[in-house]
Amino acid sequence: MVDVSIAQLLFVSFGIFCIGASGFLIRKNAISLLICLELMLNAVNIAFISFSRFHNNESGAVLYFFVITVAACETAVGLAIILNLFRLKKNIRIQEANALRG
Amino acid sequence: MMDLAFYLVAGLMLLSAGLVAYRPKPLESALWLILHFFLTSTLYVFLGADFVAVVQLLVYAGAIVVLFTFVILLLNLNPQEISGGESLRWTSTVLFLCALGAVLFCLHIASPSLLEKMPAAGPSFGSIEAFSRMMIQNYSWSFEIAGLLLLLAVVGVGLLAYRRPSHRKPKDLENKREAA
Repeated sequence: MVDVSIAQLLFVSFGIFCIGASGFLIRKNAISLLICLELMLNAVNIAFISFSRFHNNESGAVLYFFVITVAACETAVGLAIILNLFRLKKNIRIQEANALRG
Repeated sequence: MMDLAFYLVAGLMLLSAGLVAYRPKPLESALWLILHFFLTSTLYVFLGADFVAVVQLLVYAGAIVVLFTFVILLLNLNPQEISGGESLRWTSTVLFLCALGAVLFCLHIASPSLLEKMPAAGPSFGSIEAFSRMMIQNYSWSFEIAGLLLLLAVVGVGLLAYRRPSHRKPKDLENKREAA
């Protein structure tokens, strides 16, 4: 067990979330976007577990469980969409995935 | 000693997160993501949440990264398509992150109890028994709905990724069979 304050853990979580969010906003590759999304979800999970430990309550771990469920669904569906995009356009650059722009 | 280990793991986590987000090739990103998830699992062990650490390794490092790697290798992109450069949305990105940091800083000031050392964990914290008691007793409906969500995702992925056989010409299939 480590003797740290929750602020340090939240700082780590915030740093990883910022790196993931900036990568999500800057990258142009659809698979990289999904990977950055995973980073952000992981940062949120760290915050959940930190607060769970802080309050000595397992509810945070249960929320972590639901977050990874949603993350697994999102990854699977997102990769299937990317596969379809690749079949349609022969690349996965998000600038060219503008069919919904109208 | 343990504090040093915590700072080492936290620093390596931030470093590997940066490598995940900014390496140009998606395959390298996926491989650094494995290291990131292992370090996250280490952090959970430090916090005493053992079951969560195991789930992190099994689900994230074991399943999701494999899915990413599989799709990256399946698509087999050529290098100039991958390195499409970075877009110039730096200003909006920096503004967004500054606003987020400001909100968190205000929250931080508003609750000074965040800076205290954490209280000692209970004896059963992080064990699979405490976790499953909490989940089945208090969140059983959410648990069922999560299972339904996974089922819907499986069906949806099957519908999305399915390629109808009528798109292929029957002659090609016969030629392939003869060649085989």
